[in-house]
Amino acid sequence: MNETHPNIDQIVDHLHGELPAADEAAMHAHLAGCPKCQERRNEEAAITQTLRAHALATQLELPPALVARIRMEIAEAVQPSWRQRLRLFFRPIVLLPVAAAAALVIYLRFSPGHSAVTPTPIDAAYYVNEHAALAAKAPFADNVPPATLTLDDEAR
Amino acid sequence: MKRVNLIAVALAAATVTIAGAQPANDGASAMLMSAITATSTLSYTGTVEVFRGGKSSETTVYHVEHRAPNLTRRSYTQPADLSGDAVLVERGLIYSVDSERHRVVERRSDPAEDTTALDADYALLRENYRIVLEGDEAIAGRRTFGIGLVNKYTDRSTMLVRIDAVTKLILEKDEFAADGTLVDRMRFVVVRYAAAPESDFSLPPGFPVVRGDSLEGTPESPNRAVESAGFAVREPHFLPGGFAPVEGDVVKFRGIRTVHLLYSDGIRNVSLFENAAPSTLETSGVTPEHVHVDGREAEYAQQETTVLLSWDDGPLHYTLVGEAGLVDLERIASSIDK
Repeated sequence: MNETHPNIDQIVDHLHGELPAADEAAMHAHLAGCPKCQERRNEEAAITQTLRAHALATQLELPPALVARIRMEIAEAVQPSWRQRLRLFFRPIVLLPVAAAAALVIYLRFSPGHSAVTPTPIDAAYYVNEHAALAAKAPFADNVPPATLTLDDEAR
Repeated sequence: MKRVNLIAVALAAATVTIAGAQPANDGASAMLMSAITATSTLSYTGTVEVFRGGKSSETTVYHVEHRAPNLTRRSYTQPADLSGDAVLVERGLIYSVDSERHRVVERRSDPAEDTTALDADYALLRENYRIVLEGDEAIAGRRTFGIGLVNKYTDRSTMLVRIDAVTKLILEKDEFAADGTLVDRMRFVVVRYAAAPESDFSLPPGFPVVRGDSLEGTPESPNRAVESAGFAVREPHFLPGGFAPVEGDVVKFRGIRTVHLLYSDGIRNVSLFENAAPSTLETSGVTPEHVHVDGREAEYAQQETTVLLSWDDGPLHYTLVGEAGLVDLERIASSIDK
């Protein structure tokens, strides 16, 4: 495919994802170095796009009021009761840091001969989040951090 | 541009060391580049399952909406603790919606919008990984091509991505440990190529927005970060095969000046944090193990593919975080002058 230009059927198959993997790879390699074929591909893609846009425009959508009501009901369904909130507070992931922080405060307050210069505690989640933020430019990095780490008490 | 220069130097060095490395498959490589850049022009919605292996394996499920080029929202449904939480990424900022505490935390993100930096990172990836075509598979009702990434230094498969045959969106991403076991899998269960309305990306009304600490720093070159640290930064003399310094940052967290240096091999990343004052590591939810690094006591914790190693050296505190294994992190740590 690198020596000879792909024909229109092959370009259409490429746009529809119907080429075998090896031919698809060869098509990509060819397109990368052949502006003429790129242009043909873009023309075909534009036609496909126009047809898809037309199909979408004629598709029936749910009435906006119904969509809003469904969203509101979902939002209400996830609101926890006071009992659930209490249980959430006592789950280990919340209670353990709270207990640890309380123990640390008591230790710092009453420990005899405790030095004035004490190490500052820094949450491991801070390092992991900073790492994820700076690494977000890498080709396969997940630019959205895991919720478990962002929801810890990061903001102080 | 500095990032590009640094990587160019690293690549020149790597070219000498990778004797006999085979040239990458140009076609598969071009397909991979299309996949990496697909989200800048492609809008979609879908449901994604993320399986994280390791000691405590778990599955997370979220609904995703992406509006090209740079609006993304994830709404979590599993596990139950995350249900109702959401993460919104918008033009370089991350908003974490914490439904339990009724607030939004605003943080910095460095999205892949800088095409020069992306090209440089991709060049680093191609230098360190062989790109191989794998078999077809249907995911979420779509035909996909598989592309494997094999590390040239270890000759092991590090990652497998499956890309939509038509749109080139990555519908599955598998990461493997050094022993070949699956440690992380992201997979679309449902995908639809349509743009969600812009109103879907608004923050919930009545939730106060709290600034996260990571908004403080501005990314720069590693050399510049070291120069502007305000204290004598010690850099490692050893990096795992193919890794190069790519970015730096100077931040002040809880009153402590911290230098953050990022090293990468194109897929895996390692961060070195160097604090200018004594600090301790808080590990809520994870129990750290105690190890010795070159005679120094250190704490080690692992969550899925991310490993964290932390230790003191006099008035300085160091933390390494990354996707390299503990052995590599210990070697990096040992190579930092005492």
